[in-house]
Formats: sequence, C-alpha cells, structure tokens
Amino acid sequence: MDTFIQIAINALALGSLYALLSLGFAVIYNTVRIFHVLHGAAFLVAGYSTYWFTKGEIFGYSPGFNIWVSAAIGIVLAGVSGIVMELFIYRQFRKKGAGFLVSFLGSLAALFFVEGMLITVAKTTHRMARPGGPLPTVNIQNEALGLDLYFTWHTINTIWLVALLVVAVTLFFKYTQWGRMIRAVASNPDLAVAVGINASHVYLLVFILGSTLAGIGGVVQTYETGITPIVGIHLAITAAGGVIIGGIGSLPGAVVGGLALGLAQTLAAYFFGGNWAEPAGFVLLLLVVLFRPYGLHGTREHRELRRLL
Amino acid sequence: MAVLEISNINKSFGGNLVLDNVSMKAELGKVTGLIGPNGAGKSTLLNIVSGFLKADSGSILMNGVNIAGKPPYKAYKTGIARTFQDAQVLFYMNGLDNVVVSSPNQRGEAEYNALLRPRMVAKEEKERRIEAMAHLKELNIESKAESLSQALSYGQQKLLEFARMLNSRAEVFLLDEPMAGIHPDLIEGLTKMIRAAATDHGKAVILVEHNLKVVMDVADHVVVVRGEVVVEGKPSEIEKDERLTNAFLGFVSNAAT
Amino acid sequence: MDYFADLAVKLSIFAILATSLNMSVGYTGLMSLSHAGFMGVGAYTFAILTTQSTNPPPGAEMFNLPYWPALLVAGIIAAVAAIIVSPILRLRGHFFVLATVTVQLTMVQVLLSWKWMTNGSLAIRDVPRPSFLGHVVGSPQEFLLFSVPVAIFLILVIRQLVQSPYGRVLTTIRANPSVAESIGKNVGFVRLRVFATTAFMAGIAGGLFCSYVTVAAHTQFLVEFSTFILVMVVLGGSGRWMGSILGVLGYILISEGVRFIPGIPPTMVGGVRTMLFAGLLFLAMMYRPQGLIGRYKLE
Repeated sequence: MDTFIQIAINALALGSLYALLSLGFAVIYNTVRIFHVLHGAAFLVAGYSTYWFTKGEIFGYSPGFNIWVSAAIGIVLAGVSGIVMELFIYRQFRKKGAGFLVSFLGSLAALFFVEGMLITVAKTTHRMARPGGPLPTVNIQNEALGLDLYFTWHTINTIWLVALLVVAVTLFFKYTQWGRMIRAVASNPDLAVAVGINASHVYLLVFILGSTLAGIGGVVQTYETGITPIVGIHLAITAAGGVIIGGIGSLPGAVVGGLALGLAQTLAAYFFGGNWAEPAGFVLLLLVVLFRPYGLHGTREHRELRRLL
Repeated sequence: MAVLEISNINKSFGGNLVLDNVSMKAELGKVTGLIGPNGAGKSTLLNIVSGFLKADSGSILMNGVNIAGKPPYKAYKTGIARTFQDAQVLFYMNGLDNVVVSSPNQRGEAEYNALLRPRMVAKEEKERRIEAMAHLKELNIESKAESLSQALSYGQQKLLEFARMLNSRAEVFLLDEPMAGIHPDLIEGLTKMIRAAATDHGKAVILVEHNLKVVMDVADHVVVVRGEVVVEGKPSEIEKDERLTNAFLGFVSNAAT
Repeated sequence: MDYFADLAVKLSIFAILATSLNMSVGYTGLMSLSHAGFMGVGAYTFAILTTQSTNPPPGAEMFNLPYWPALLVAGIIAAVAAIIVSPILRLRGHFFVLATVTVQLTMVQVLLSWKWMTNGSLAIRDVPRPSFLGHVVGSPQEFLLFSVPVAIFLILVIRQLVQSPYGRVLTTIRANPSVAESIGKNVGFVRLRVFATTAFMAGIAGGLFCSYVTVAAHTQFLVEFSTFILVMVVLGGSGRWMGSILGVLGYILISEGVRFIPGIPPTMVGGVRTMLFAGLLFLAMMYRPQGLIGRYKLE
C-alpha cells in the first residue's frame, strides 16, 4: 500500500514538471504549429540564470542574490528568450516560407547552439541553485497504515505549484481577452486576422507564455534537482511527448500527457532501476505516435488514405 | 468480357454513405466517362480501384482477378495506371526519368541486380529509355527530356504525366479530371490524346471529368454517379435524359448529399 | 604526420556516415536523426564481440569473434535495430523526424542502462585494432590502410545503388510517395530497405571507429553527433553523393580549426565546436537549405 502511495507521490511530482513543460509546448504548438524544440532552451535559460545569480560565478563576478530574486530574474529571462525565439527565428522562417522540416532543423540547431554555449561557459557538471545544498528528506511513518514514505518538501511544492499554474492558465484562456485572442488565432488564423486580431502580437504572446511556463519549470528543477546543459533536448522531446500522448491540440491533454510520462518513468524506475526511466518514457511516446497519433484527447482527423503524402 | 469489372462497391466515411452499390465496367479500346456533381464519389471510386482506399464491400475484377483491397503498387502490377488531380510530376527529376520510372518490372530496381549485374541493368535501362522517349515524342515534349520537371509549364506537366501513363504498359487508364486547370487552347489536343489512347493503343480508359463537353465528345459510354449510379449509356442517349440534369441539381438519391 | 593521418582516418569513417545518411535523407527523403545511435549500436556490438579488456561487461564474456566477422555482425545488428524501430517509417514528415530523435535518445539510453552488456558509463575498453599477418595496427597511418579501403568500398556501393534504377525509385519516393505507389513501387518496403542498409553502414562505421579509438563509450554517439552528420550532408549538398564527402571535409577542417583559435582553452573546445556546427546548421536552414552543391532544397 505504501509503495503505491510512494510511487504516486514521485510520479505526481515528476509528472507535474513534465506537465508544465508540455503545457508550455502545447500553448505554442497550438498557435504556431511547429515542434518547438527550442522550448528546452527556455528551461535552460531560466535554470542557469537562477543558478548563476545565486551561487555561480563568471569571469570572477558573483552576484550572490537572494534565491527568490534570482528565480524571478530567471523566469523573466525565460519569457524574454521566448520573444527572441519568435522574433529572430520563427518569424524569419515564416517569412521565407520555410516548411516544417527546415524550421524544425533550425530550431534544433538553435537549441544545440544554446547548449553548446552553456557547455562552454558552465561545463556539464550538475548545478543546483538552492543555497546550502539539498533539502532534508521528510520521512512519514505510520505503523497503523503501514506507511513509510520519503519525500522532500520540494516534491510537494512542485505538485501544488504546477496545479496552481494549470488552473491559472485555464482561467487565462477562458476569461481574459488575450486568452480568447490566442484561441481565435489557434483555431482559425485567417478568420482571426479578418476580424482584426493582430496575429504577430498573438504569436509573441504565445511564446512569452509558453517560454515562461518552461522557465518556471527550469527554476523549480534547478532549485532542487539540478541542471546540466544536455538535458535541453531530452526535455524538449519529453514536452513534445506529453503533448502527443495527451492529444495534439488539447491543453488539458498536454497536462495529462505530461503526468502520464511521469508515471511511466516512475514505474520503470521502480521495476527496472532509475536508468530505465527515460527510455521507458520514450518508448511510451513512440508507441503512442505509432498507434494513436492523436493521443487521448486530440482532435480526431480523418485519415483513411492508405498512403500518406 | 470487360477487362475491368467494378461490382457493388459500397463506401462510407464516418456516417456518410459516399458510394452506394456502384457497379460499372471498362472495356479495352473504349473510353468510359464518369461524371457527377462534386462530392458524388467519383474520385473516391478511382481511389478504390487504384488501391488508395479500401471499399467497405464489393469486388473489382481486373482480367477476372479480384483486386479489391490490394495496395496501389499491386493494383499497378495487374495493369491499372492512374493520374492525380493536379499534375503530379516528380520534381527534381528530369522529363525522361519522370517517364521511365513507370516502366514495369525493371530488374535494376532491386539492389541485388543494381550491384551485381550492372551490365544487364544497363542494357535494360537503355531499352526502357528508348521506349520512354518514344512516348515523349508522341506527345511532342521530347525537347523536355533533359529538363527538370518543375521547370515545365502546367500543360507540359500534364502531358508528362500522360506520357508516364502510356509508358506504364497498363491496360486500364484512370484519368482524374485531366482537364482541370488546362488552357482552353490545349483541351482539344489533350482530348485527342485520350481518344488515341483508347483507339490506337487499345487501352480501357475511365475518364473522371467535370468538363461535360469533353466527356460527351470523347466517351463511348458515360456513367452518371451521385453516390449511386444514376443513369448510364451512350452520350447521345443520356444527354437529354432528365435524370442527368437532376443528378447535378440534387434531386436524386439519399446517398452522398 | 601522425596528426594528419589521424584526421584522414576520421575523414574515411565519417565519409561512410555522411554518404549513407545522404542516401537516406537526400535520396529517399527520410530525414533521420538517429544515425549516431545506429553507429553506437554497431560500435558496442563490435566491442562486445571482440574486447580483450581485463574488465569486460559480464554479458560480453561469452563472445569472442575475430575482427572482420565481428565488424560485419556489428553492421548487421545495427540493421536489426533499424528494422525493430521501422514502424516509424510509416509516419508523416514531422512525426517521423521527431520519432527518429526519440529513437536516437532511446538507443543511447539503452546503451547506457544495459550495464550487464555494455558496462554502462564505464565504457568498454581495449577494443582491438585490425592486424595484418600477425602485426597489429599501431599508428594512424597503418589504420588508414584498413579504413580507407572499407570506406571506399561502402561508398562505391552507395554510388552504384543511387545511380541505378534503384536510385531512381528512391528519388521518386522522395519526390512524391503517392505517385511512387501508383506506378508500382512498394514504398514502405523500399523505405525499410534503405533505412536498414544505411543503418548497416553506420554500424560498420561505428565498429571501425571504436576499433580506432579502442574504446566504445556512449558519449561518442549522442544526438548532437547525429545532427553534425546531418550538417555534413546538408552543407555538402543533399542528393549528391559526392557532396557528402565535401561536407565531411568541411566538418573536419572546421572541427580541428577550432583547436587553433587563440584564447580557447582545451576544455572549451567541445562546447565551441557544438556552437559552431549548430550555428552552421542554423544558418544553412535559414539562408541556404540546399547546401554547397545540393541538388535540391530541403523543404
């Protein structure tokens, strides 16, 4: 019984982080329709900024800010990176009429460029932003219920923070004008423009929103677990995975997909050992892509023609 | 005995019945027109016959063999060739390659032969190129043999597609709206070619077309479809038939509305 | 002199990788980012079959093949891996690329996690070099005598394939898979054969590579390297088999050139390289998708 709860807690925590990333990815994908692998970079930007402003040093300079200030800076920078991505990368590709492939490879190249930059400057060692080292583990034991659970407050905080953000995002899309504008452009760009919505602004907005969400994930992750440059692509694929599993085109689906990946990874870690967590997630992604490409909630498109162009 | 016998084809998409018990034949040396309003199921039928879609029920007998449900490349091997709406030429390949590629049974297409029997492959390739070139000449586009296909005008691309079809040695030609997007000056030439395919080359041609004048000019037999077969017969017979007009105006069957 | 011989060895091995990836991407239209993964599968297979280390992974102890058969098996196992993941070939455009990246990440992760067979992060050491009449290859120049003929052979095979009617089938599939089907080409099966063949070649390149550096480590076969092989293909020009070789040359020149830039300490070289090639790929996508002498533009 308690193993079940333990797994549930771990899965929920991991899944929440993935859900956050997937949500950001989905927000962007729904409008821009590109597999924005550069999403990983927003995560990295926020994470490394938080680390650097708190504990790190570059060329002898060490800011040593308070952790909350650093986190805020990190998140803002992530949002800013979103603006940069849209203005200097995706908008340019759109102007040139680049197809999906060219944009995707360009995005991938940009991600690796950022990773390379971070490797050069910060090396690949794991960096953790929390001053004073990792949080102590909380141990709840209860003879009567047969409980023997281990977790840190970070785990719990991640869960409710993400839940809060998901609610906030849902409210944003439902009740604010900006949210409605984004939904309009996402479902029918031509019509949205025809009724006077500025699509360029919406694209920017979407990138700010999505990248900020990724940035929050980066800060949270760097605070406790740590960060290293090469996770960029892994996280980008995981985010894409959450979106695909939950159903392309659906925001709640992205959240569910992220949670599903967290669960798959946690179960794999439990049964086969921590090393097998990530492959398990990817295998799940591949299976879904092969057999149910529209995921659980995704918009069902009729695909009957035997040969796909 | 008709070379191609389509019998009792039914097809639904989602809840919509698009083809309702449709049957028709195609005979060598004859052009069969397939007409009907938009959404009547004509292209769907072509897709089913050429293997791109699976019918819910019914049979397609090609020289007596049922090919229903077979994938497109297998349908091709039994002797069915098709064109697509919008000239689908192969970009970044030249005119000649665009045509030679449809040559059936090229042994050089297997790795084993390409690597281990180069002389045989080269000889066969030479023969097939001569054959393909002849088709290009027949359609007056031999000058485009070395040009990249995307550099051709739309009309020339249509001709290239047709040459590819002629080169296929198929007995049945399925033409999907060949006149779409064609300049009126070129229509007559193209129509002559379709007629020649049947009369001179002995092909069984099924012509899906919206340009009714062309169909009435060139077809030996016309089938009017609107979800189901509404009426069929010689052009002169059905031209004045009320059912033909009704089919286009929408007063007929429940299917495919 | 040793230095240039070393570069030449890498040139020969990377040429196999780039030319085979070109056959997949440039000729058949299969944009695969899992090439480094297949190389890794081949490398590890070779290492497992031939290692003479004092500390091999437990799973490897039952194997002991001579050099050249092991190299062949390395290629075959890589091809088998490709066949295992071949269902992804059904996927359309962007899903396919995403799937190949996923496959790449998964393959590396499996190499890392299956410790019993691969030693995990400890890597497999003491992978043997080829030997001629009893003399084991010692210097890069001597290794060249082996790697260059293998490379030339494999590249000629690719050249022969792509210049034959088979090659025309590939470009037809790339140009328009529906039309290809409609003129009798079994598109799915051809794609499978191409995918497996190019994986086979990547596997052999992997075996050669780990024999040269005498170590098989998962860090040699990461997704970034898959992207770099793509850079070699794209820069050289996809769709022209000769272009890939130019691309490899460019890659090696730039890669080594980085070392000589003043002001960059050795520890930073890897990161700077990544930045350079990622940057090049980005610029190529933005301004010249057809590469140097490419036959067509990536769309």
